[in-house]
Amino acid sequence: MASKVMSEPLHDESETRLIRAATAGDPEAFGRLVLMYQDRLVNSLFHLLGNQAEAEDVAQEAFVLAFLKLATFRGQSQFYTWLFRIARNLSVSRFRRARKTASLDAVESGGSQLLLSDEPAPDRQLLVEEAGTRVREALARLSEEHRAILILRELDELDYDAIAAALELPVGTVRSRLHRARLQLKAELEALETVTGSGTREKRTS
Amino acid sequence: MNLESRNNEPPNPEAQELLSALLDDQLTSEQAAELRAQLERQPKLRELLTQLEGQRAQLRQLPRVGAGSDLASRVLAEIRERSVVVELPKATEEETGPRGGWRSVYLLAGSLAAVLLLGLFLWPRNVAEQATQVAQTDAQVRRKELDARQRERECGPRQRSHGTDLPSPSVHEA
Repeated sequence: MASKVMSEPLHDESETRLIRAATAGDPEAFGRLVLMYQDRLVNSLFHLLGNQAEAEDVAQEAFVLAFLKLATFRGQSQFYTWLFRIARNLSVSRFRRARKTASLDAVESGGSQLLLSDEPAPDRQLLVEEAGTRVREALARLSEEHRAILILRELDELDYDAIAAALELPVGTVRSRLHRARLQLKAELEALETVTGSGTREKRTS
Repeated sequence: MNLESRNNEPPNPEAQELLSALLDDQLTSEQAAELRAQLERQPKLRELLTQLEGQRAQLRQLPRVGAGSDLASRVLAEIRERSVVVELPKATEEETGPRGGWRSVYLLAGSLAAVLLLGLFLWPRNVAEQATQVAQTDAQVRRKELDARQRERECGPRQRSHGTDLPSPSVHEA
């Protein structure tokens, strides 16, 4: 997975100018907005969906929808949180469609991992040996709403107000949900470490 | 706010949630001071804070994934494509507007005219055929009556056979 330098966001005034121009029908201005936020959005979607191709598809659709709905953007929240909200709604729709078409076994094995199903099945031992991969694995095991709130807080580093706007939640709910998400992630990481420990022991004895 | 719990017990849920808020710098100075005092006294609570901080560091160290180099071009291409699709119904609407309406009226009128012409063309032929048939039938009837009268005059009144011949009106009249 290639790491890329994230696009530096322009200051608010430039962003506002671009949004105005794009709303007036200037696709070049909207193209610049896409360039500003594409890496950030794809990165968040990648961790939300667990698959880069899916992340790119959803990001593309989200940008197109954002352009078509741009007249409804009132500037009461950050452009990125508005964009993320569109992208997340698309992700949830895809997730529901995937769940409908998935086999019963896949559904029973945990809905939050369904969108990771088209990735090659990695060797579990190799997966848990790398700390970053283990965190990704733990993140993928969370419910979608817990994963989304952690991504917004820890990866996008949004404050509670912005998270509340992106997820359409009261700020009080953001605080409690964020805490539950952290505890759930901690439990998943501990469970993976237990698997690693027992796997390592099995390897040593064989 | 009572955040106390015994040293060997896990921290109470309220204190745990405050730890999360402390991490995010969401506590008032008073709440933060009270929580720090609890942290001094409760090793389990301290342990949890250390774990949450480590977890945050791990999340923030995850490799960043960027967009493909052509994402912006693809977005703009799709926007153009959708704009064309949106405009198409307008063009269709223009075609089916007043001009299209008159075209339909002309077609209907033309069809009606064709039906009328065909009717007029066929009508006299039918009438003539029917009139000819009627005239032929009348002539045959008259000829039979004349023949019958002629035979009566030549042979006198014919004796009635028992039901083999049909009675003619002239026989009854006589």
